[in-house]
Amino acid sequence: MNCKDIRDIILTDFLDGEQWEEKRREIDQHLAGCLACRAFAEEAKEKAVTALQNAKPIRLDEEAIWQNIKNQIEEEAAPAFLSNPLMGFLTHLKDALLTPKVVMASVKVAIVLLVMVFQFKLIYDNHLAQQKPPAEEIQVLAYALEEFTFEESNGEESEMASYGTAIEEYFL
Amino acid sequence: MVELAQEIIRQAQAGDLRAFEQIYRTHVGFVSNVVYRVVGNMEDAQEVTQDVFMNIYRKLNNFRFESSLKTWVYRISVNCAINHIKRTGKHKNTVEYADVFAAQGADSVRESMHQMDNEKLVSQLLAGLSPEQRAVIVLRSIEGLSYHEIAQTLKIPINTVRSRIKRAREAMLALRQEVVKNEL
Repeated sequence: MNCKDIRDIILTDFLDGEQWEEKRREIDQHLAGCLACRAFAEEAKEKAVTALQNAKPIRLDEEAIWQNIKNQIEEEAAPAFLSNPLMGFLTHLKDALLTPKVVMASVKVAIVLLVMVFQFKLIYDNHLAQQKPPAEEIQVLAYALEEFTFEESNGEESEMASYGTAIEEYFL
Repeated sequence: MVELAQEIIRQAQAGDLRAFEQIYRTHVGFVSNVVYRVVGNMEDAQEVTQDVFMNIYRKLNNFRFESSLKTWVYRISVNCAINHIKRTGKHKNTVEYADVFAAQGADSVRESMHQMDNEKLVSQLLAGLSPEQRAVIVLRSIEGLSYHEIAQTLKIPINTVRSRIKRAREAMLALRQEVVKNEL
């Protein structure tokens, strides 16, 4: 191998410790006798490898990235129509209303309202019943009315009916 | 980094978010490091790291345990970072040194200066490479993967790995010589 071949290997396998035993022996022999290639190997290591190997790992805001990823996953998992804000609100409202606590509270309120309506109806019916005239009074009134109309139809004038005013009597 | 138990991966494949969070916590360190070194700035690195894990989440059911999860995650990270560079046209590194050292927490002013110099140099070296060369150099010199692992990760022949590394190092040496010439 000439110096160019050796330098190609120095830049790759030699610097990275990847070369197999036979190749390594050959390179070591060449470097032992070639000052220029030895200098090249040292320069290549210093200028193209060491700085990168010494680079410290950077750290990003891992918590913020995770929150963004989580939000994106949850967004993608939701049905497409939920991306509409109104539909999203309605669905959240439905979910909130259908929780067991809310359902139980609604049932209790409905029962209380039914009992109140029933009670009110009873009180109202009683009130109406008190305002109605008793059946006996109605019968008496009906009888009196009947008698009065019967007398009128027979031509018998009552005391009130037989006398007019003084002027009427004069002309009659 | 500890390899995750297959059971965790299977749970995540079944949609268990807690299991996926474990995958995230185990891999986020090297993913963000690789992505940052390839894209070259913190803001883009954050965005691409997020994309990497969303890709992992969406494609997790395609993972058949034929390679290690780590290799698969490396592949997605490198692909996302290279695609980002090509999409945005940001081929040059624009490293915010202050951010890098704030995150690393240097022990002393002297060490901090040394780190800053080294970081500046790393940034300059990587900036002169193509995205593909940058990816193999990051996997080899920063992450310490073997040629065989890089070939598996990027799904390329091992001789392609070798030739990319050689060209990348030639480019880095040329850059350093150019810098020395300019300083003189």
